[in-house]
Amino acid sequence: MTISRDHGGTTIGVCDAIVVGAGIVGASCAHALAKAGLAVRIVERDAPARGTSGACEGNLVLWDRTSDPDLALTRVSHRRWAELAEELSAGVGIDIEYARKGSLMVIPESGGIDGARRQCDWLGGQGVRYEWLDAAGVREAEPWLKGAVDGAAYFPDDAQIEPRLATWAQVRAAQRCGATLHAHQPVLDVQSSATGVRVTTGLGVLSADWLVVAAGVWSPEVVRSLHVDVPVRPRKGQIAIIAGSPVQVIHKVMEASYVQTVASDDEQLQVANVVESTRSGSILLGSSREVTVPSDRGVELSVLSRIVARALDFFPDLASAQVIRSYAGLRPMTPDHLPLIGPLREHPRVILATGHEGGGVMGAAATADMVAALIMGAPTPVPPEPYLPTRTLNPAGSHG
Amino acid sequence: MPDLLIVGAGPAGLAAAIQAGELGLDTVVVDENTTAGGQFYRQYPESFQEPASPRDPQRERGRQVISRARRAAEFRLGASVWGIDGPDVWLDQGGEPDLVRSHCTLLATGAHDRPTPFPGWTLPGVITAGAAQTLVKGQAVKPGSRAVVAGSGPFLLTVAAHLVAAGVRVVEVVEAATLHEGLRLLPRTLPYPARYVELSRYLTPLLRHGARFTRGCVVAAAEGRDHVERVELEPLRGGPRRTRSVGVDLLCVGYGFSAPTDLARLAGCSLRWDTGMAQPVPRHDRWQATSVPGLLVAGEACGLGGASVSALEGQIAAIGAARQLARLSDPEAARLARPLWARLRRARGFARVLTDAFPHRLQLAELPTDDTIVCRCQNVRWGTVRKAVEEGAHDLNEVKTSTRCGMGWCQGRICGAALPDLITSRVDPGFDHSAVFTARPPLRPVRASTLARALPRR
Repeated sequence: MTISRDHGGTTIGVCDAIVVGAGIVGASCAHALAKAGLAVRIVERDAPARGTSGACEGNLVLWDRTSDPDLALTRVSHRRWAELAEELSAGVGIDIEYARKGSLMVIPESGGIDGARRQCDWLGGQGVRYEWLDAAGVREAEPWLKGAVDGAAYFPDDAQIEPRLATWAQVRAAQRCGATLHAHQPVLDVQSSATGVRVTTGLGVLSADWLVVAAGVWSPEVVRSLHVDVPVRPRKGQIAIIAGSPVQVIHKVMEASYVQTVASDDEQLQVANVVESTRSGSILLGSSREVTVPSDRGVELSVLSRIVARALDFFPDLASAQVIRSYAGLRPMTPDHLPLIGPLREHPRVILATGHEGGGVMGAAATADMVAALIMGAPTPVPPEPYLPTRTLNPAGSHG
Repeated sequence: MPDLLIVGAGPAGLAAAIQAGELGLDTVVVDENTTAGGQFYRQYPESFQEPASPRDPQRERGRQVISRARRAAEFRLGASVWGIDGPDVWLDQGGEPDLVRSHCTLLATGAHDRPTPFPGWTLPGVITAGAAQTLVKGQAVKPGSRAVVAGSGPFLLTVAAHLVAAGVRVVEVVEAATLHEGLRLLPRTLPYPARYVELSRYLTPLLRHGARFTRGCVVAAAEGRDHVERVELEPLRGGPRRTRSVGVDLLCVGYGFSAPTDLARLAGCSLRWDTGMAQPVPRHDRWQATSVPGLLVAGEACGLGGASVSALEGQIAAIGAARQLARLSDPEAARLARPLWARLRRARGFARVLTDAFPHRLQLAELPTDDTIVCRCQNVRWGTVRKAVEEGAHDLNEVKTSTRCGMGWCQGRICGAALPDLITSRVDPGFDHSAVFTARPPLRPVRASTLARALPRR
């Protein structure tokens, strides 16, 4: 029931749901809602995958989760992405490069084994499959990893996708179900009532029953006119890209301390090694975390230098490889490191779908199902309470 | 901490260094080439035993300019700039990382041949006019034995003359501009008699050599099995497509110039459209200062002009830097700059005549087929880019996201210069022509070990 009027008044469309943001989360929500039969408009200030989703690694990783609800949502999403990869390939002909390559949580000789064991005990108790490798086992699994390590936990089910392709595929799939993409349209104003919303863009006013705000670190700006506090802050992460190296990186290789940098409430710069290859033949080096402001998308050279230095501690043969590119992404961080999924307290028709920090690609599939279930009044894939924006937000401890 | 860091040791950078020395500025010059001079004053590497004759007057003049500049500033050659962050410029000097922090930075990074895709342009034996000149002038290498030199502008004659001097048989020089276009502008060249002397220096040996001159034609395709064997020449406009085949083992192509702006964009400079280069270039004021405090620009890095314009702008930029550093008062700076501004106006006048005589030609955009590679690093073909734009990509960055075009070794310097014309004239006239790929460090590929040792500041 999409009505468009080109002239005569400023209302340019009435629909069931408006999704603001065409990153991986917004695109996934739009696809899920359109597939459920809703008339959907996607409003994006730039173009699909031009924000954080275009500047990340596409991790589908379970072991870096930090709490029970975090893991619960992630595991649903993990399963869903495997299905979506096939569905998107068949439906819109885009191969999102889903690869269940497994990940290695590597424990450097310098320490960290106790924390790593605690993390693995917790994950194992939740039913996540893993296997301990000693130093020799690590060599066998990842022959180019030559840094001094005590061992690693191998997670065979971890995977990765190409996040830009995945975002575009979700947008195309939504369009195939009747959704419309309004690219290059920043939201100028949002009004909400008990029964619906009005969203103003440069094109005019769109009315809908529901508004889904999936604009990552820019979500607070989108709903500024509603005078609500969206507790999302940008945490910047930088990635360096290597091309043309003969070094083979088979799994996703991450330093065990990565999980502490994720869980940490420290706003200062933290660097932990993450190395992985992509299907195009490049090797990505991460990672850094540092709280910043939403306009700060520049790469800082000193941080890049530290990331590369740390990667060489593990893969010394990369020393002669060429770094050709870098980028920075702004991860939407919440005080308790859990996403915000559900309606705003004072605005029941405005649904947030953001705050996944570095787990946006990972969590997008389950988040989309959750948003669709909340709007359709259907059963949610996991109990929604821990993610509702109305929860009490405390700086969280870890699961331990 | 030096007063002035000059990036690029071509005519603009050298003139700036000499002027800065006269003003007492502590100056460092960096260039990624191992010899100073840039393309215009290209020198042999120092290890070469230079042939005694024939003496190349331009190389001689270059040597004098370089030696004056080297007395005025510290030179760091073989050092490429891969990042800029406020006053900090990051260098890679043969694998050694370094960081130079200076009060002022002058971008004098020059220009290169405008990349122009056509069927067969990636075949071995097809090189740019500038590359041919570099091989002959800088390395004493003969790049082929039987050549066509094609493109537009007086640079073709220079390159053809160099090839002849190197012993290459230049069978034909193919100029896109028509004879009519040239004759129409003839009166405007009359105030610049010295340029005729320059022209005859290149034209005479070419005529003696027996090279054929063709005007109003372009190379529509290069063909061959695993090396160029023949080129197909085609009149630019009018009539049915008649092509003529010429057998060669070397094709040198140069349709004007294009200036890389990645360093300026990374530094945050605002850009303006330059008609001569048909691309955005850094905006600057009359002191050559960009929109970023402490950052200046001179020479072809900020618009087409040639060596004379570049040298004058370099001199003015050095005065501008001294003014920014309060080493010169405003009136003192203006007194020094005034005669230079006057000469610059005249030199720019001639550059405009050349721009009008050899205009940037959108018709070249008709040459690539769907199968023609446009991104040489990632092997992306024109058909893939065309499809991405038809499906809604609005600017180059969106094309990049959906096709990988521009993600490779050159970071989009080649395809980024060629694609706007192709897209606006063939797919979407409303495509954002002025948009460029986002510049991100490292601007040049840098070894991981170099990057790792680039010491963090905090």
